[in-house]
Amino acid sequence: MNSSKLGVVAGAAILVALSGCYESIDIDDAGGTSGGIDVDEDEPEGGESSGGVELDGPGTCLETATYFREQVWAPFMSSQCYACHNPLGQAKHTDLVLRGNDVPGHQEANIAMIRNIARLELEGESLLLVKARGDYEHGGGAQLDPGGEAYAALEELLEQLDEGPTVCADDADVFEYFQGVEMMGPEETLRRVTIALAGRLPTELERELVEAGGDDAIGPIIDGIIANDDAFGTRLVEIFNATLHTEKFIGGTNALDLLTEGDYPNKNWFDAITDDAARNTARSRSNTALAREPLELIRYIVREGRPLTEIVTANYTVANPYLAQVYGLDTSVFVDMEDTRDWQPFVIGAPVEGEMPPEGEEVEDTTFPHAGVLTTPAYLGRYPTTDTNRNRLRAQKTLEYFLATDVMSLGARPLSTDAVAEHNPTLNNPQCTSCHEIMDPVAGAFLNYNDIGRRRPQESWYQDMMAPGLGEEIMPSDEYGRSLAWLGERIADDVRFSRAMVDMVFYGLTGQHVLREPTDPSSPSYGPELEAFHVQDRVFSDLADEFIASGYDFGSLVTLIVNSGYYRAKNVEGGIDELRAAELAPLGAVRLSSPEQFHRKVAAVTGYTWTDDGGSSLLTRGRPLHLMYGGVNSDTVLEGYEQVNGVMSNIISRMANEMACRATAADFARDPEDRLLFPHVEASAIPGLDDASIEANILYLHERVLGETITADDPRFNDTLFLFESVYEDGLSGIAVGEYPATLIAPCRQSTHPETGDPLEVPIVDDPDYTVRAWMAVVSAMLGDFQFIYE
Amino acid sequence: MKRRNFFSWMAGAGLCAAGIGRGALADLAAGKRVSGGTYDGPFFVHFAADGGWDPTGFCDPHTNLHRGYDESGIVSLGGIRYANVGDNAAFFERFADRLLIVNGLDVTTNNHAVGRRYVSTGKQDETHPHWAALAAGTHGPELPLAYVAEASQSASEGVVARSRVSNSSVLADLSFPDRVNPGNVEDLSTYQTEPALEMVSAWRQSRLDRMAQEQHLPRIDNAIDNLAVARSGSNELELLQSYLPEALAATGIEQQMQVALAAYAAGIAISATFGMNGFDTHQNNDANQDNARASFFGAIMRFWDEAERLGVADRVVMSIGSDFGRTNRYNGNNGKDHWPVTSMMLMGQGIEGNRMVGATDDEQYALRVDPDTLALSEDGVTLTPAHVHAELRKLAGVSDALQARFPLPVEPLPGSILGVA
Repeated sequence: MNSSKLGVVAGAAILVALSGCYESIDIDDAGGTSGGIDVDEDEPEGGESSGGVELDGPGTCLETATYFREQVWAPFMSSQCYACHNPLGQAKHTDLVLRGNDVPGHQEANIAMIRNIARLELEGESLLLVKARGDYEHGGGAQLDPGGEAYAALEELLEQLDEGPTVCADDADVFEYFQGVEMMGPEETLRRVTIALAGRLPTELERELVEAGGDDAIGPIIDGIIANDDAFGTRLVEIFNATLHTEKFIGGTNALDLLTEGDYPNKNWFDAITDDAARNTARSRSNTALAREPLELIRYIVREGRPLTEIVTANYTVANPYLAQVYGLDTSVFVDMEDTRDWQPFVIGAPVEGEMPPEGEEVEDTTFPHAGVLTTPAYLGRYPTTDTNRNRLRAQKTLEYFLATDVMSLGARPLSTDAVAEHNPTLNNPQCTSCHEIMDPVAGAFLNYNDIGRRRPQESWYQDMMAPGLGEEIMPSDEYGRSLAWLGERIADDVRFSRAMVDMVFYGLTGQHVLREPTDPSSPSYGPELEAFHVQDRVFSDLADEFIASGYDFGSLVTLIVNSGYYRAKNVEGGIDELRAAELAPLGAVRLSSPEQFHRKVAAVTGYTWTDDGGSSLLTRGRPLHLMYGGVNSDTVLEGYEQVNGVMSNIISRMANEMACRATAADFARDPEDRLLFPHVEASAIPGLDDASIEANILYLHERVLGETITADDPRFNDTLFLFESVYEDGLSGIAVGEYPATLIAPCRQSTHPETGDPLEVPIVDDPDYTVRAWMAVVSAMLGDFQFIYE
Repeated sequence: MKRRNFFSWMAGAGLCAAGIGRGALADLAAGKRVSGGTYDGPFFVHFAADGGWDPTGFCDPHTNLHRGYDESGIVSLGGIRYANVGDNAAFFERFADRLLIVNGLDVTTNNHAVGRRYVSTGKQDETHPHWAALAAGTHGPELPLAYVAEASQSASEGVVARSRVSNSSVLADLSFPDRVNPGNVEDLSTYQTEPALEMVSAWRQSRLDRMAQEQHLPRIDNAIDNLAVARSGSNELELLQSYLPEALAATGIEQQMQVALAAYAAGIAISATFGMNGFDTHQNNDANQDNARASFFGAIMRFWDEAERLGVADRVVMSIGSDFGRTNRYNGNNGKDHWPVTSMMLMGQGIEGNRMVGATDDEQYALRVDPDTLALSEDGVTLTPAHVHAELRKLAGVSDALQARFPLPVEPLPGSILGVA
């Protein structure tokens, strides 16, 4: 198998560890995606001059930001200085007010503040140093010994800032971090991608493309899956629902209950259907369609190749025939009124073509001010509000999902009861306003939507809250009517949107949340965890930049993630110590398949779905094993499992037993060229007589079921051959002494052709040589193997 | 023909039989249990009142902070006092002799997620597992239902696999995964013969062992260990069948509790978390808190009913908590907003009951306690969930390795909140 030994793979230039450093530049952009530092990505490889700046080789460049973090902030400033010089501390009214690590971008903000302070001098010496050693009326007295390491580190920092901070042309940290990490090669990646995105194994064409093009072929293949694979749409919905959880409303009339007949007189259109069964079906499909609206809108945007920013800016929504009737839309666009998969764009309330009022005549504009998913009933209803919450939950979720801003983590700071007891603390107390000044303007932008999301236009917002807006920008009152459209446009223009999409899609693809900055410097793993955080933050910020450069193309985003070390890392050279292990903790290309993915994978590999006796799937949403296998229902259960528990182990065993039983004889019933599991061997093949075909099929099964391309000298092959021969020999001896029957048990027999249903000339009922059962054992073993269970 | 002994045969072929592996399994081998055994207790359980309960409505009464009662509505039962509103009396009368109330816990947050984490893990950030997970991770992570994690905050941080029981009707099928008709006790036929099943198991374990030897990335390494642990105890799920009640609740927390307790009685569970919401009462605080508490306390009482029926009640350790408290005043909707001082309640094996520790003043500010005597003292310490968890961990026998991996910012108070000697 091909593997890369860098932290990156071809085609992922943003990760290529061209390390070097130079001095310069402006760090005013503290919130920028490259840590507030404007780095030229096109700098030549290490050692060469770029813009008059000397570049160093990998590992020798130490950025000022890193120096600050490791030599100044962590050892002493975060404790000795920050104790008073924080927004709530005794020195909160001085020029030096540092930010804690509960504030995003706090390191960059602190560096910027120190650089500004450093300009203040007393008799030619930095005031910061003067104060630190206790001179010039420093309220905190002497904090640093002028002869000590901390003082020297501060001096060095100030010197660096004075000369222009050291900035590595690319990130030496990234290079160092991925040193020795083994990556999946393109073939392995291809299998993982097709299973993950399309629920199937790679096609022959895709294999050939990768064989010819290597990693460069992955991106076009992903684009092809997005454009052509129906199954991808299902996966896309899962990826976004993993964060948005708007599927909560599937079932009953949960979604329809969000609407009123006053707003949508046709919402219960199905009541007119006289046939009970048809009416119930129409009601159920209408409810599902309304619940699915935001995710289907995303699917539409992706399928149409539109920029992903439209998920918050689209001035339209999508509806299938059922939802269109709920909304009272013109359904003439639909060919088949029962096609639940036909989603078309609409503008609710828009004038119908041909019914425009006479020119010059004023009419009320009834056009609904769509703003992508933000204005869908399922999104608004998923995050309801109350008179006292005042849309803050909606604001919190919108900031988190679309602007990568976790207000809740800001709220983790210690809070005193005095702060809460103050009059209107969310507006007046700094302990509260630190979060609320971010959250409350966004909450105001939802002013037109009531507790469960029904549109009720308002002309004003609470006077005891901050005005509607985003960040520093206040929403003009004449925009109130389209407030969420106004908000969506600003979200789309915000650099944080691209990072939010990286985080959301990465989670949907891998099941891993992006790392949060560690907050406990006393933890023994603080250092490596901090390093892991910074590297991931750097890499993902770069991915976000690339995503912007792609025009917010979803396929490009998926390709960027798939080509990153966070998707492909599969091992590391041995002998790593505990600190290195802590540093690498986020890496590892394994994901316990969700029940839906597991369901699809079983079907893709064996050709049969795992169902109960009635033919209903067992692992999909709403089915008996879904939640027990770690499924989410987007209501009471929002996170899947990362680990296999004992019950799941038994679910896997049962599936492996049943599917091996169901698929083995059935596959042998097909012509060899049509078989999925046994194309190289006949059921009658016996060890000692037909070794070549048996061995060829074992190698084939390793590749098909486990994704392992191995040869006959691989110990894994020998294990499987041994298993086959052991079961075969045990079976033969069992039959000989009359302990085992010479026939298959009933559920494992095959009497008809699995495709045509025609009776077989020779039904597969007898198994006199025990070979069918030996193959069943092999298939069962593989379906319960780690490589099959984990994506 | 004489049948071969498969395991000796496998050994000759260089394959390993399923058995104790590395990592967590090795820890187990060195600890108090070995794979294949069952667990005798105690059983650790946490009930979460999601949304932020109002202690002034039950365990921390202040007549000036709650409209539902006056002085005559405050009932003393030995060492505890409670507000006699709603259905509180049934709960407190039943449990007063074994109930420990810890008032005046400062969670220093008004944030639901943060408060919920603090109260269930002893730490505010996202790094620590639920204390019930630590207990399960210490005493037997390989058990099939070691950690029944039903509450919304049930973080395990890789210490033990979480389990959820959403549909007990399929447990019989899952208890006997090799049988063709698991629902028919008369039909013991299996898909494969016993030797074949053993060979399959050995093949899987052999591959897992090889992967483990070659793998060095911690995340994948842990996944390999975890699968080995899960497999090692999965056969014991069948023990559950003997303890499930005949009339199993259809869904919801009732069923979750029944299955968890049956699993405990069967020796295949160590801890559980359960949660109910309805406590975020920004509107009509008193009535809504009463309703939510009635459901919540009702569930806890039925938990104990079932524990007593199964004969395991004397081996249960229970903690009960919520995100935070509610404000010391009503808002314009007769609701109460978030307040960073709250209470916890505990009872069960090893906990000295009929006591109240800590307190709040008449403005619901946390009062300090002397760390040695736990008497109120202006020079003392403010109690936090971390203090409670430091002792809960000790009571649960959480291993030194897990304690070191997930340190708490405080040590147990000399005075012992839980009353543990």
